[in-house]
Amino acid sequence: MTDTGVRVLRRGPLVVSVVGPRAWGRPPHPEERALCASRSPARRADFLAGRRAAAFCLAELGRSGPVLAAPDGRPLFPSGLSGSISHSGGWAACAAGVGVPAVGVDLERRGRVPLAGLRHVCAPEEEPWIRAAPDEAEADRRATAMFAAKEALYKARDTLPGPRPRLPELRLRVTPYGFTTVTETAGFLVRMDWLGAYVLAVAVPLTASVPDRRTPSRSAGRPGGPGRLRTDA
Amino acid sequence: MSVAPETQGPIEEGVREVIAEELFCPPDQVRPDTELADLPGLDSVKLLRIVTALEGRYDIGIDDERLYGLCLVEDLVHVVESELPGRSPASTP
Repeated sequence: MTDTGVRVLRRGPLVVSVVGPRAWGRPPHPEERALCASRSPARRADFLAGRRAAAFCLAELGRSGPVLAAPDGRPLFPSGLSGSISHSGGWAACAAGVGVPAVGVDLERRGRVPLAGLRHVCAPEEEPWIRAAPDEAEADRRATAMFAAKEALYKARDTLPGPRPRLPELRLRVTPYGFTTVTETAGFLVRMDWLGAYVLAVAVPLTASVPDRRTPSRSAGRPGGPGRLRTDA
Repeated sequence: MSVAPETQGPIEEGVREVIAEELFCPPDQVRPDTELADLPGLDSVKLLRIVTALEGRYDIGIDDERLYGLCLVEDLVHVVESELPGRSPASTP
């Protein structure tokens, strides 16, 4: 994809979009523009890119915005929709769907996850899979995929009741399409797509029986995240 | 938080330097009272890179439980200070 590109993918009940830093898009909704103005200057470009990606998903679903933000920064999609936003290096991705109890998306560029920091990301049994890669490029690929998968999963779980596990506590099993969670009552599937130098991870529950929590409150969990930073809105 | 005056400055300076290097910004843009979320271009993976660089620079291992909830640059400074040998957990915020 070029930096003017837009890609919209269907993933079952979900629509996923990825937009480049200079991609065309509709102007932001007035309420989104007002929200953007309240952001620090360093965050405005990311905010607008994320809303541009969200607009493509909403259009594909026959809906319109705005996509506002909870006090904790989490994006608030229009009623009846679940959604998640991620950005990386000027690029942005959004996953949104109807009738999906939770969704998380993460977009990461390869070559950025430090292998020396894997213990902050991986469960003890996951790190050997990365370390066993036949060469550095494959180790980086696996590390990037693992980090993106966990970030997406963290965001998906963030909308559900209960405490928020740390990334190493979100245990994943490698599958042909990405990852599935282990040790969870309600499992999640994390689907991976490689888009040039970027990896896109989308996490959704494996069943529709997961309890819903679409309120902006974060009182049940940690205020931040690994350092999980609320930069996805 | 009780931090010896003779070490407070250098560690704060070191943390700011590592952040600035990772974000390609001047160190004076990284003030102790700056919110991490307001730092230009900082995201989760960059924070992971910063934490890993700090662990290498100071030869420490940071408990990742302490990374959830960081708000300001000075919070990260305090975490690094508390992990240095001779700092008791009781002296941390």
